[in-house]
Amino acid sequence: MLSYIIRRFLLIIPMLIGISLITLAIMHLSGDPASIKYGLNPEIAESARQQFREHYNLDKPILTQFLMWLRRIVFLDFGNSLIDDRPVIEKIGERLPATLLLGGISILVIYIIAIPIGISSAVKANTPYDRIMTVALFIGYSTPTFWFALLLIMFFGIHLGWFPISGMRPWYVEYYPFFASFKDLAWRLVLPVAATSLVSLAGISRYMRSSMLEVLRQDYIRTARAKGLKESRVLYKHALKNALLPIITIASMILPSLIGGSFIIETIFGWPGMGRLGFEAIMNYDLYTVMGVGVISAFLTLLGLVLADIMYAIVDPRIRYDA
Amino acid sequence: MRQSQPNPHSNNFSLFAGRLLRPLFIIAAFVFLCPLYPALCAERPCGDAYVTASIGDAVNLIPFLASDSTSGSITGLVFNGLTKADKDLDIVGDIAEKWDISEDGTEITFYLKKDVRWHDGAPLTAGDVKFTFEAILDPKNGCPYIANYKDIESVEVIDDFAVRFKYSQPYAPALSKLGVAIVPEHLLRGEDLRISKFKRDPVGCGPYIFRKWNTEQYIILESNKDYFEHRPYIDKHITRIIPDQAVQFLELITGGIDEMTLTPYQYFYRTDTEKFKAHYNRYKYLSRAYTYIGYNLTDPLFRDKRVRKALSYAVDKNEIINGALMGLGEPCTGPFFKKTPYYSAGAEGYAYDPERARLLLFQAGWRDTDGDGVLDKDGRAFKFKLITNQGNKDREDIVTIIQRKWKELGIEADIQIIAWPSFIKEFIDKKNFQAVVLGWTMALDPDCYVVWHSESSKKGGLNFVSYKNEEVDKLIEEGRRTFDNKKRVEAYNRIHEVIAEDAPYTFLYFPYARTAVSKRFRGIEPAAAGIGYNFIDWYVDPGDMRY
Repeated sequence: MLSYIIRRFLLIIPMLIGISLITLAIMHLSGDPASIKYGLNPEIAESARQQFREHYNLDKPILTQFLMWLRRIVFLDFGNSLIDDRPVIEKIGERLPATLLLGGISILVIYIIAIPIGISSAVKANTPYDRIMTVALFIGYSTPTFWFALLLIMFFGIHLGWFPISGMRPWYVEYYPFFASFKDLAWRLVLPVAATSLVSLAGISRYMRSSMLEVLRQDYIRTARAKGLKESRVLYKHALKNALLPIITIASMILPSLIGGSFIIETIFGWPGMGRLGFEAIMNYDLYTVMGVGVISAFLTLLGLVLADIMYAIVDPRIRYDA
Repeated sequence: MRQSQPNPHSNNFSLFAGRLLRPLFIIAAFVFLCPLYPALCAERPCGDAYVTASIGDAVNLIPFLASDSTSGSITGLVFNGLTKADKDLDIVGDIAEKWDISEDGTEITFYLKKDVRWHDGAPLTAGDVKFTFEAILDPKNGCPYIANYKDIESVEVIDDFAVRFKYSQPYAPALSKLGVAIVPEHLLRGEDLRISKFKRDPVGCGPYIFRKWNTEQYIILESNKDYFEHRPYIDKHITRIIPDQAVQFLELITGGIDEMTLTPYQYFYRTDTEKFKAHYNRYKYLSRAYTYIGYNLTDPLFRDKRVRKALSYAVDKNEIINGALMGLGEPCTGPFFKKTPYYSAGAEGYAYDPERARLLLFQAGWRDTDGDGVLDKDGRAFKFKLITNQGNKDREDIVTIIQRKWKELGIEADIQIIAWPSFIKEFIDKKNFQAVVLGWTMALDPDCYVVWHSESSKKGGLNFVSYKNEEVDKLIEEGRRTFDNKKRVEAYNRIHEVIAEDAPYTFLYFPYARTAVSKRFRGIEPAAAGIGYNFIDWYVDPGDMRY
């Protein structure tokens, strides 16, 4: 088992190198960061643009640039942003907490709601309850996030006035720190979490439903019922444990989106997270930030997959990696 | 004295009233009942906060290193330059009391005001001025505007409050270019400006003191009570970063922000209601920017001046302003700002005249010989590509309107809308286009060398339509070399007329800037410079104060 884990972790390294090289190549395909940054501004001379390219080694061949970047990355130096010359790692560090908070709570909410829906739909498969749930979930799934988010703001933020419209921290916490309470933050999380959860709800609960249905058809469930066990014991002790297996894999798939954040949600709710950082970096051809965000997301994705494999082995004694 | 307690019920959008104002109320009661407090402000009540919104976060608060608008508006309040533009866009002294220009125009001596202090209390002296311009001219700092200062030979400190700039040749735009904000030498000497902490924690000498920058959330400034002009009447200036304009609008109507830039749609449809106008004033004023169609003069199709003129006559500017901007713009006829004397009223304006366009095309030899509805000449049909950049809805609407107008004349324009990065790299920089819809923003000074001089048509230059006219070249050089404003006005008026006559561009319009500001702010006086120029004179009546 241990050797398997080590092997998996070592495999991450060549994959990361490949991913970052591809990222750099794509960024180079079109566009010049200097002309994105300074646009067609008549106040800014060509010499200044040239100076900018030289400072960031953008005038060097792409492979040279990549090797220079690799050499730095060994020391965990992701380089400086082309936009404001700050270390990329510092910029990511500034944004990651906001994204983790929003993403983490959203996933928690999604699972807390989706798993019971999935179970109950499976138990009551093909009843009117199941059909209504199916339709409702698919409506949620097909709703454009930005539209739903704006509706939430209109209704709960403006008509009812229950929740603030946007922003993670209000500016007046600088003067009245008692607003910086946990309650205020929780209040500001409600709408973004609701908007984030809606779309993913359908997926997870459908997975849960089909996995549960699959398990309920198994012989051991019939055996359990034949033994005369209580239905609740059959469902929650015998069936659920096995039905949850595939959900673990899905959880590891969600990890990258948790780290990557959602550009749309963050833009609408003015949330200072990774989604906006990544998107703005791409739009500005901010190479090193894009590569930094890319490498970190890729690393966490790969890490998530390894973790999923390990979790499998732990929850399912039949799975062994040592062979 | 009109000071009184702020009344939270006077605010009709009372979303925050309960949660925010209650504790504020108690604090405010103490503050306002304190008899010493009102004495600090002589003429107008002091207090409250002004909350504005910005789409993007600031980048860098070292004024001469920033090139984005959010950083620009923050540093504009924290720092001062030697000169500034007044409400009529005339250059006046800022921290400079006065200045002398030597007879040959190569030396400018500035005499500084003696009562200017940095926010940390140190006096601002000529040494700071010298330090600032040396920093700008040091290539390793990467100041994007370095070319504006390349003619400076030396900066000489005469005494603590006098400084002399020597230029290698007279450079008239100097007076406005030297208005760039001055930074404190005692805090920055020896620092690497590129990575200095100062860029996120600046110390200036301006009307507002930097207090806090919470990335992608807000930037807080506080009034400088010792500001040399007078204490600003509004105590706090908050910039909230709200990346979506629709959400900005929702924040505006619920009182989360006090000011925002409106889209034409918001200006026209969403804010033209009694309810909105009861709480907000809307302002519109001409932006220092214009939109145009540029023709690549190296393309054989556009070499004939008559053809370019015909294309200009065929475009109905008013239709474009009404269609794309909902009327929020004014027709433009040349490359200078309409509110300055450099803009010539006598230049050809190309009012919509399809008959004249037809005649000019006929004279140039274009007619529809094969009856397919498209003009042709020597076997070549009048077809070309009209490009613009993606992401600018106004321009996307404009190209459609123009295409239809030209089609009526038998000219077929193929529209291509291209993402900005490749638009610049593959089309503009390589001059690989036929006709383009784009816009320019204009600096304070009318000098237009980088866009219109034939030298700027070299690769990478901004004269990408390759306009070359000896008279214009000569006039541009003259305009740069003389400080005599009367002569400059004559030169630029003539440039305007010549360029209009040559029609390398079809000048379309100056857009209006559109702003909504909460009614509780008083003292706003729209002028050629917009509304922000006298921000330190804005105030809120004590009864209206919210924060």
